[in-house]
Amino acid sequence: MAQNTPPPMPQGPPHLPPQGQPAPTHQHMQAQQEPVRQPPAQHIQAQQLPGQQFPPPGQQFPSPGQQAGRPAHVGGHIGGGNAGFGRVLLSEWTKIRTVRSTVWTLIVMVALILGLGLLIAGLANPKPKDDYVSISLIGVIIAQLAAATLGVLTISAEYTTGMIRTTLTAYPRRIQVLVAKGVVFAGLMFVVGLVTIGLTAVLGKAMFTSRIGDSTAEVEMFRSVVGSSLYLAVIGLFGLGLGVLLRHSAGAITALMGAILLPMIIGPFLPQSVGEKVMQYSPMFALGKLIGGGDGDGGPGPWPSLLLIAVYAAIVLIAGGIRLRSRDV
Amino acid sequence: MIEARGLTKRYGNKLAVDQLSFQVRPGSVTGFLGPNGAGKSTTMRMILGLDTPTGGNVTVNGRPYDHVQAPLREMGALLDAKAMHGGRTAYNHLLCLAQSNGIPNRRVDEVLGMVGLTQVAKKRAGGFSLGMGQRLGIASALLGDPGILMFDEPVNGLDPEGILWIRNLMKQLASEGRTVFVSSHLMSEMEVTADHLIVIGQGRMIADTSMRDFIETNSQSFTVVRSPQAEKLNALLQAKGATVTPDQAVAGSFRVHELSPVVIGDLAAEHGIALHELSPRFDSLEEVYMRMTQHSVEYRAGLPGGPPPGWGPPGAAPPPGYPQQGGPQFAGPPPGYAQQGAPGAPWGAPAGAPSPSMPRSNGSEG
Repeated sequence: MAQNTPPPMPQGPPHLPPQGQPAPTHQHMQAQQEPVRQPPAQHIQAQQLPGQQFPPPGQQFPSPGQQAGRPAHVGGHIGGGNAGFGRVLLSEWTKIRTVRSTVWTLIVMVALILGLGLLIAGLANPKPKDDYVSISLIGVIIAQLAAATLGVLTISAEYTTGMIRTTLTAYPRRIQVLVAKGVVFAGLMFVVGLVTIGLTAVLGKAMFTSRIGDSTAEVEMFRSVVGSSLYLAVIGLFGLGLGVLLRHSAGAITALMGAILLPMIIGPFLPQSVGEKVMQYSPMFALGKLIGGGDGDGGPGPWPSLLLIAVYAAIVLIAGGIRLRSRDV
Repeated sequence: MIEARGLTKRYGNKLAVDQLSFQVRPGSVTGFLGPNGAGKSTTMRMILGLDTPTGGNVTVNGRPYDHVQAPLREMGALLDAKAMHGGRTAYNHLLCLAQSNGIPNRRVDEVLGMVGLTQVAKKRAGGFSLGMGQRLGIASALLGDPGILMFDEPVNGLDPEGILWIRNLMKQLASEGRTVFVSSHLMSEMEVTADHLIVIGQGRMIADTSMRDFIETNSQSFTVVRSPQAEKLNALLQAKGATVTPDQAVAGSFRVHELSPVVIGDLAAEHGIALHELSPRFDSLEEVYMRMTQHSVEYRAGLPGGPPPGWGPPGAAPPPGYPQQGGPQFAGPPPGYAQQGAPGAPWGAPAGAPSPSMPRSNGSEG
């Protein structure tokens, strides 16, 4: 306590400033950076055992106010702006790019889209009337599972690790946190998807054309590439919604797989009128429409299908948001 | 300043926090004390807006926590050192928190230096020891240079060096005029850190008092007397108004309340009674606390009538300035066996209660 504090405070006892008062001590804080940063490292070398890195008892927590020999202005020494939605976006971007699961999932996603696309473009023998682009994009159907899983993990990992409490302590406006996560994640999925899918479509089409010759099929490059990239973002948001709703990685991923795969699996076994609808309004069907058109299959068209999946995503996100806002964490 | 008014939290049928009203003031360390399950962590989560109170409210600097614009700049909290994504490096963990409050990136390096984690800043937090995780949690609490700090059981699992570091840190933060609110289930820990005490049991307020008052009000003292003429002395003492309780374990030994050893000794000498022992005893604060909370301990070990053996901070070294006669206290005395007072200590000075002699922060209460 007082007698341990190396620099006495010549200007009298510290006092509390009115809260919220702007910090006028920016430059003086910068001047203090060196002493603040250096001592622990020196102590580790000089007198601490390896692994014992606590600053020794004699060393006091360096406080800007005290080091400058002025009355401690409690808090507010560090400059910078206020918290706002832009900051949360930046924070969520840092979060998503600094965990390995993101990197690995994206690698898997890219490898599936590009790898499967090029493999098929090199081996398959479609007829000249087939759409080469949609055949090349077959990998997206598998890759959507990676995108959606990452969507779940983006939020469920915060619950399983307890990070959510730290997150919401730092930024208590919960819905903003969820929206920021959604924006950052969907943006990431769309951009990575667009680049990978675009590259795969161009390369695949070129490979098919050089092997088999020009296709007579009408190709809608925009719908196939941009539509399926948007789909990856939307199905990822669906995963994010399930993640915030269910809070457990395993449970949410299982529910997600069920939602994506089950309609196509059980559809054929249901009475035809029901089964058909189950399949036509499923995510997988929407992706098929976006990639390959499939005008003959009936059901909604590619863009209405995408919109429908976006509605599904919105429903789970809103339900998840309500839960996030009302429940204790 | 943290202010709770009628704060209540109910989980189903269980009342975790029951009508707590208190203020945590700047410039001192306020200890938040209670047995496990008393509702300390729940209260702290409600302060941070993580749990919604069933009743009442709590404000930070006059506002609910979730109304604060950049909360890390007003209040830093360490609730659970493990509440972080283990895959993220220490630096990145702090960076994403700093960014959400508009705190400059260089501050991340600063706080890493303050807690001595600079060398492992680029290592993933999942590989950190408990102590390192605790330090990272403290770094995140200090990130916004807040005027209020709250720590939930900060010394749990730390080695003596880490415990000492945290104690000094808390005292210093308070001496700078900050509000420091720290929970513990160990009285012995609070004894050496806190200036003010809030004691709860089963969610209810037991005491909200300064450490000094707590000691003076609650520390009972008595004298152990052993004499071959116990019965004669007993009668004399009782005639003087003392309460005498025989000690079953030792023949001729009994405890005398309400009379000082000086009076007892003089009385014995006056009547020619030999004394084999005359020793003043003081309750340690740990015992006072145990007595206060014994009816509110939720999960009790099977041992009747007392805490488990070794109660007390195992391995905790007496901090500097702690009266050394308090030594055995740290080893965890069996319940009911009161502390030996300091030889020659003046009657009435609570020898087992060092806090009044502890240096106070230099008038920093704002």
